[in-house]
Amino acid sequence: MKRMTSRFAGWVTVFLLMTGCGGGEGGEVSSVEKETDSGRTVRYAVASANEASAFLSRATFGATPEEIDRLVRLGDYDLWLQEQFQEPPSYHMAWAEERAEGVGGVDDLKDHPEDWKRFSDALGYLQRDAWWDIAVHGKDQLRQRVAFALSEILVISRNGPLLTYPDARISYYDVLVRHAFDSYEELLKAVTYHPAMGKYLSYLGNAKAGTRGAHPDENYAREVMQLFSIGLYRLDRDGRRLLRDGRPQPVYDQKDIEQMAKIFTGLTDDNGQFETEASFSSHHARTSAMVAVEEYHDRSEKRLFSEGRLVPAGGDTKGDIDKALHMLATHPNTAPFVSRRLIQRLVTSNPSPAYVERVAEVFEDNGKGERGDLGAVVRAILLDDEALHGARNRPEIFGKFREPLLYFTHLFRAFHAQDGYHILRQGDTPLYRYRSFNFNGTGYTRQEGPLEALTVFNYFTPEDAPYTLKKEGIAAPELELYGKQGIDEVLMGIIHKNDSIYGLFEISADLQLEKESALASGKRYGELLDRLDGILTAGHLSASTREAILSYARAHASDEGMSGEKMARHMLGLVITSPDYALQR
Amino acid sequence: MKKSLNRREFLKRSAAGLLSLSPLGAMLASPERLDAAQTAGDYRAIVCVLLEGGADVFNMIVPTYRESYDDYRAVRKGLAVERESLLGFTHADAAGRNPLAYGMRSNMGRMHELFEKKRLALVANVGTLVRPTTAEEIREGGAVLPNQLFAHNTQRDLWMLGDAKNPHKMGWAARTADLFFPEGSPWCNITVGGNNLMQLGAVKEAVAFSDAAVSPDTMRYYGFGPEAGSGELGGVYQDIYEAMRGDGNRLMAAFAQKRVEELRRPDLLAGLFDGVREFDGFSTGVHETGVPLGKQLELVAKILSVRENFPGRPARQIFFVNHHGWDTHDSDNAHQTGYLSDSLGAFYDALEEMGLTERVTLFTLSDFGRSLSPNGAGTDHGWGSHAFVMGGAVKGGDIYGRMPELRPDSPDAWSDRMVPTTAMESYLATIVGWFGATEEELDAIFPNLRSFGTRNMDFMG
Repeated sequence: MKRMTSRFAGWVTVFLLMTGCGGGEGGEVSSVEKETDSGRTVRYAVASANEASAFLSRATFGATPEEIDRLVRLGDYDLWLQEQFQEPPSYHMAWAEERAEGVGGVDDLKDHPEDWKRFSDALGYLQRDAWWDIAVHGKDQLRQRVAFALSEILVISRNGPLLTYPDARISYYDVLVRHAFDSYEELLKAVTYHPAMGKYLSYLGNAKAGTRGAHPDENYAREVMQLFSIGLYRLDRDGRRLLRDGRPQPVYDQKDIEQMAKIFTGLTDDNGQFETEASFSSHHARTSAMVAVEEYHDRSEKRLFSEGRLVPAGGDTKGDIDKALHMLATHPNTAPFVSRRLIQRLVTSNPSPAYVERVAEVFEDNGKGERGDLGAVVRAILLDDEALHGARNRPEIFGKFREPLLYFTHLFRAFHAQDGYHILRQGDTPLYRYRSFNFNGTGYTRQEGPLEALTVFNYFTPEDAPYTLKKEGIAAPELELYGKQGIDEVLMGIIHKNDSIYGLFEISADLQLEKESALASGKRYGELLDRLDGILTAGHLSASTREAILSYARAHASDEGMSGEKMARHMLGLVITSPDYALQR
Repeated sequence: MKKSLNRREFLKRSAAGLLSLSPLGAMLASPERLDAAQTAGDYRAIVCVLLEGGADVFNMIVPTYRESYDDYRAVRKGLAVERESLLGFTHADAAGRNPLAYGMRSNMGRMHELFEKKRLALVANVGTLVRPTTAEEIREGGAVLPNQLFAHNTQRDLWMLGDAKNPHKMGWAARTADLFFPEGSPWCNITVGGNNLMQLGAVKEAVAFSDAAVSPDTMRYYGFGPEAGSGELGGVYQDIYEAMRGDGNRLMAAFAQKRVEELRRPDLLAGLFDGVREFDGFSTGVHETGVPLGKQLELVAKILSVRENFPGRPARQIFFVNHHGWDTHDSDNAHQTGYLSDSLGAFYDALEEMGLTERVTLFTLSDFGRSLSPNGAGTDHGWGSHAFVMGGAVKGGDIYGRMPELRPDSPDAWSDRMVPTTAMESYLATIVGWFGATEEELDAIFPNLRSFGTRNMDFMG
């Protein structure tokens, strides 16, 4: 893995480049500069607590009162990012191995890795619990938030062939965590060689034509291009499709897929046996990079893309794969393609082409001549004028709908949900004991969970939207997950501590609402709403929503059985299920 | 069903390419203009089962006749199903085509039985086409092909849009709904399989049901969610969403509007599931991805059982069901076919119990077929594929269209994929024609239908 040293020095050049481009569309200044007490000029100054709250909703799993205060005191978004870049990664496998303590004669997991398979049904929950704990408590919030975004681009899932391999899934997620700020090419390599992806997209044990099947499996060849790097159509640097005679131009055709499929032959897991039936037979094989068995690799020449790029005959498995991934990582489509997807995951569903282009430029060159530096890309995304001031400068279109998972991570973080000890069981047999939220997901249809998409196309595709928006070319992908039952109900179940709701049985996520309850007890409803607005909606709570909630509070203040805490819970529930909260901006 | 002037207006408008109707007008209009007497005797529903991922139907229907089985075996290699295990059926259509014997997988007993009872038909090698196309034309470079063949999302989208040539933003089921209910019926398009392009864009959005919708008590507890609005918090919730419809942010305004419509639904929902029928034949299957097919079809059956409770008693309903997990790169489809067959069988039983077999037609579609030859343990994305149509109004026990020869050098094969010999439009228009659309309307729903010789495949009675 290439180590990015002195990354920060490189950024100075990046600032100049970005400034040179003129910033936002409306000619707005690209940042607020101000002098701190120490006399240092801050390029990305924090203008207000609300702005800080909005920033944290993009860069973390949800703003908390403490983190908002800290960021305001820090006064500098860039400084906050630099701190985050230095934060040691929280690895999910390490979490699982350290926390899961064997009970009733069961050994600790870390000493008996084969129990991952033996108890795979139960340990599926460990993958889930690790994710929730790290999302809520992890100090490396930015890294985890980016890893989550990547998990929705470079998708594997519990649904499908990985169902009974929780260790493979956790190990894969750690790849995303490890490489979240690394180069995209390194990430793509680590993803490609990981056995979880190999199994999920069926190229583990993929053999050259005539040895096992009549042709190599084309699954990964297709998706690594369509979904992980270059997309279907030629793109301008600003992410818009390049049209010829009014029509989009495909970047590749079926012949390219067949050529690319030959590249991804010869890999199997580290047990070294090529039979897929024999695969995944050990914890080590499920969690270590795949290896090549050269006799199954297609060594013939591969001609890729219409431009006639070539992987010459005679190459070995890894050499060919590395060459092909390098071609994909350096393809002109990849910078705008990946940049736009990451912007959509973190900031806004409909970025302006200029915003995409500014980020794509950083993707192409981080200022030190390095390509695909994800740390620099993430920084460019979060510090862009359109991210920091989109709500003001592009009010008609700026923002993204929150995903169900992010509602809950935010709720748990902001109100310090208390977890508890639970015992993981297989059937009636107790296996492991550890602290967790024991939170099952978001509703009857379980519409979203960590690594639980139904297909490699994720929970939603980047251009999805309800018809009224779609017909105008406006995307609102996350709304695919709304309108199904679950989010509001589960939120209210947690807020009101009603565990009779599906998925909340034995949940441990008690919200700490002392301050909110005290304000409600004193009938200081306006102040309570200000507080909730600051933490949850970053100052975007509308006058109408505010008034509706206030009238409710006033009308019911003296209801029988109404306590300060109950009122606080009602008001919190109304804010978090409001459209004002749904749209992150 | 009476034709209204509005349907003609719709046709004029769609001919001019102006498919959008005023959403405000639609909201104000009442769907109750169809009187009950009219609808009671003329109810028809179509149930679309999407086999998501690209179902390998070539391993569900296997030629068993001498050379054709040998061809199949040679091309399918390790994936080939043993001839002796197949549930055989013979077939010869009126024109004497397809005079060969076929078999279904051994775990497809229910579908086999329905085929033999002439309640299930097979539509051969159907797919997305811009115009009639042969493998030879493609090899010679003269063919116009649909965009992004073999990619899941684009091919599935073409099926949902019902047109591989012209761009559309509305799905074909939405266009159909707007013909029958020009002012919109909230109960025409119903999905139990999630949001989908097929039903997207009608005057009234498709109604999404899940299991929870049948017993909305927990939602009522807080007065939140789609089934609520009458509870005490629910009132506040309504005020909040109504006000936000006017928000300057277009995403916000659209979302608030959508929610307001959902919140108004409780009044309509009251009593909707009174007298709902329970069924016991549906199972949940094993190793399912997503909501099991059996649960979805059971919910469709339940909704059908209370269709008289629906406001306005719409005489036409289109259901969407999504059966995930057919992208079998790494396996054959044995585990899925048995469950598909059992679920379809249970649904047919439910229709029979309700006396609805003649009024409800179920049909399948999929992203695409699969490659002929295996890649090892599974198959890759293909193109043409067979589809199933089930119901009492189906002229079952027959194969429609032309069965391809499963050989790499078959005249229908292009680079290991089957070039469709029947356009999806011919297949879908036959179903929508039975649903009640006129020839003129079919051309409006499927603008590229006229590019293909067959307008009606005659599998519907």
